[in-house]
Amino acid sequence: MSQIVWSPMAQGVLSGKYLPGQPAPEGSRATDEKGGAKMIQRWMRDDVLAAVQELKPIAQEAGLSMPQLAVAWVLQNPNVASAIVGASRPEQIADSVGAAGVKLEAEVLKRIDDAVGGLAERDPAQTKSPATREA
Amino acid sequence: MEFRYLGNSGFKVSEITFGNWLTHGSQVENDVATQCVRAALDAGISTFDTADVYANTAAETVLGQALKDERRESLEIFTKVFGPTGPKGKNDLGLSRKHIMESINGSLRRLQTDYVDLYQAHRYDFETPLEETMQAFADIVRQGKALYIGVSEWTADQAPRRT
Repeated sequence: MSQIVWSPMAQGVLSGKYLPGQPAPEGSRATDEKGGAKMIQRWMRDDVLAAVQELKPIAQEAGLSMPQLAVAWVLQNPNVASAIVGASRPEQIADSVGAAGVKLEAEVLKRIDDAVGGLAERDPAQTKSPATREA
Repeated sequence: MEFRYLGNSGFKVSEITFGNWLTHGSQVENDVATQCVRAALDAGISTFDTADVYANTAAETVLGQALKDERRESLEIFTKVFGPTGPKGKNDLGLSRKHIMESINGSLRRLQTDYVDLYQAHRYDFETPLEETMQAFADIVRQGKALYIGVSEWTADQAPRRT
């Protein structure tokens, strides 16, 4: 059974557009109730946003944009069949697809792990369905 | 674009899927939504993921409209069932046989297609016996309304397996 991964960019947080200690940019998902501003709140913490900024030089050196690095990271797992990306602007799609076929070297993957550190959730038991249908 | 097999099936999907959660029928105006779908097709994305519950069914309508002139055989269209939709009545949610059999018809109508490639249980339903759900899914596959079945946010233990 393979996996189709949703939100490989963590609602856009991994694009690096949200900076620690600063308000979210106008028109971004974090400012838009209809775009799931509530969903993204779990990631809008300074420690998370600071770690995301540490990914920027890694992406740059790999010749990738931040969204491309996030999607490519997901696709390194051979059990993943596909990564789902969304877009509020067509240019975002053109960028995301640059992650297709990218191979990340072991050293790059290690640098990513080091940057993210203990902030990553690695417990599969955190995948849960609600106890009732209405939840 | 590169393509991968879905599970151990012979069915291929684009390794990047276009999904319309939170955007179509909600955050993004319909003309921009259509432009985004166009951009996805132009970039080689052939797999599209939605759910009945996204924007309370409006997301499926927007996606169906955007894809209606494309060659169906060149696309992989995924949708899901579980969350409350429409008037959110007592049987408008969950994985009962009744809701699954009704929900697939609504999804196909909105997506303007005769079948979806992958039909997914959006969450595990603690209120319906697994056998009831799987029998309904099997019937939908036999009817040709869905080609493959998947689950979303289920734990490994909840996922049905061949014994």
